[in-house]
Amino acid sequence: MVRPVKHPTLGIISYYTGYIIIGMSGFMLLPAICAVVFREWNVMFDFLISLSLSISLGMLMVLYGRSARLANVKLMWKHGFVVASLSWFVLMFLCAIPYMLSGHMNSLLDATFDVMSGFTTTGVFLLQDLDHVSYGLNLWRHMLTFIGGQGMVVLALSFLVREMAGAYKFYVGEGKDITLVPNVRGTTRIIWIISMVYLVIGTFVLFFNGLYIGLNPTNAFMHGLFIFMAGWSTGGFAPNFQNIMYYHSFSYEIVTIIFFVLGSMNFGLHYAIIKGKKMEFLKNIEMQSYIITSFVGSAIAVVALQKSGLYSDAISLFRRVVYNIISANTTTGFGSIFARQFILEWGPMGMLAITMVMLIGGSACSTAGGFKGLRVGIVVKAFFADMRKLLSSERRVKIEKYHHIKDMILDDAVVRSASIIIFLYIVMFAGGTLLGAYYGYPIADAAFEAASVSGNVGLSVGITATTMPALLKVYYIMSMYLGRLEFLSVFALIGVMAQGVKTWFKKA
Amino acid sequence: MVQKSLVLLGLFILLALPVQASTVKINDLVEKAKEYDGQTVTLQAEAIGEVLERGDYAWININDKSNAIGVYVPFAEAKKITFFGDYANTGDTLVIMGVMHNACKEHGGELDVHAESITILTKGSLTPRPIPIEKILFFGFTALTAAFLGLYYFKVITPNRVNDQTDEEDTE
Repeated sequence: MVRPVKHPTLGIISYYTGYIIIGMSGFMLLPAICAVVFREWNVMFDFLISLSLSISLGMLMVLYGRSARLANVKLMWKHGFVVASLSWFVLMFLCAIPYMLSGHMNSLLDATFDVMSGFTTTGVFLLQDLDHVSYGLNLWRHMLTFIGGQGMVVLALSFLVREMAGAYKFYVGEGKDITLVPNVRGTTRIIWIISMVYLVIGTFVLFFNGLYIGLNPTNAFMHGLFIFMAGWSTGGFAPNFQNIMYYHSFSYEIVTIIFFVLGSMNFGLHYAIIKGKKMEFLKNIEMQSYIITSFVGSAIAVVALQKSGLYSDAISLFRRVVYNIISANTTTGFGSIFARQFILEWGPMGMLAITMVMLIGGSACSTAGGFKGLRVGIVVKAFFADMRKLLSSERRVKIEKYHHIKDMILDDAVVRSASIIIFLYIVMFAGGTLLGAYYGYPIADAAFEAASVSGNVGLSVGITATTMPALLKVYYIMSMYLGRLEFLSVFALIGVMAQGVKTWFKKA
Repeated sequence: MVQKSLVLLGLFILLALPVQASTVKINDLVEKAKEYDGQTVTLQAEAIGEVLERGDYAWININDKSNAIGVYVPFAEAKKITFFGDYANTGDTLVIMGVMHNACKEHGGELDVHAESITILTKGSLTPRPIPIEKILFFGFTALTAAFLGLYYFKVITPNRVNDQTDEEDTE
């Protein structure tokens, strides 16, 4: 006999969110084990405390929502969206516990900022004294960005819920939409298999490169693992304050470029290439868009920097200019120059180039952020199609197409959807720029930082600091969150919350 | 005894003054890079990470809390450093005199410092990380709570495992 459910919506959301929390809590065991290996006993306790608290909350939420699940409350789109966004929100606090206990954070707000930056593969951070952070906490920082990049909601549910109905709704809710095989569980597995294979290859390549450039074997391995996780997920975190400059190595930079460009590619494209469709790499609208924006961005920045006379040779221009443009365009955020050098040496043209590529970003259904190359490609193609229509005979009807894994029709709905998301990104970027300017930062600095957080990039000109105004921190957290989940899920969460408040007021 | 102390104090001041007077913060080097480009500068900072050996030379990274920078030094000099800052250690505090390059041609345009020698001002040490008793007690409390909740959870969940529908409907 199924008992009537008092709050079906709340129950079903609680049930699935609880499972996601349990799943993510389980990952806390890895840094705890790492801490044991390196005899970081304090850190081990930090993670065990965090694990106990998070898993307890997860179990309570599942128990609360179980009656709704037993009553077969139908999972609707809004539930999928709300579960995805709510999980991210709750986990932002739970995953911040080890940060707080480490003593490296000045406040809870700073800790949640760093977690959201990790989840969204942004890479800016407020953590203090990074050069003295433990292996355990560093592993956690990089795991957050790695897991966040691939998608933690469906991952957790795939493992914990046996027969998962409506998984596609969670999957879309987390900002992904491509289906590689007919079911989401299979698609998720393929995404994770691709990522794990690259994780093994990438870590070993960076390990050997690390040995070659003088790192000791332990650090060569751990840094290799961290840098791969941050590069592949286009996160941009690094275990040391100097980021990629810590290694002073061209070869290390080249290897990271390879992996973060691969990480910024659509998982559908990876799968197509694995399946033998090698030409897809060149035919795909996203890759075409990415190659054009990277090339144009690099060319503008190189011209700007060459004009200033700072870098006189091709290698310097590549390592200090092109590297940062590619890193920004893939929304990775590894930086090969000091943050302030962007402001002090890049000039307006260079700054404009890097701000633009940060906003455009990488591929849809990848680990990257930004508008996404697919949307930019669609809008540009639609613009030229309209121009052609205007200039050709009215009797001529031509169906416009674009190629993304397969040929697709470029209809108004596709163009509208791409345009809306781009518009929302621009509004969010403008808001961040204005708020930064309101707090007294120069407009170029504010625009750079706003583009970096909106596009989930992670490069910084120095605004992101623990001393920045709290409201700006909150705005940046929201920008990272909205940018990564591509607005809809967060709007759904706000909608459901507003609905709940309205009902509560009516009852009261 | 007092005389001896005064002599020692005087010596200390004499040794410390030149360093203090011309020491530049790393962040100032970055902010005024054009001004310092090609100049000999003195930095005082903690050695972090490890020595990155490159033939006869090596890279060491230093952090003075304002920022961090790479210093290119002869490997023999870098070997003098006993402690590098990380989670377990506080690194040696170094005094480095070297030439600052805004865009070093030798190192792919890096903003760096080339030093011929380094001086260890203060030797580093192991960083004590005692575990507060409150942390252990709190862990005990949270672990017990999770264990009790876990027992209840499995008692409720296992016998009534939800038989969800298949995910055939997934690809919408």
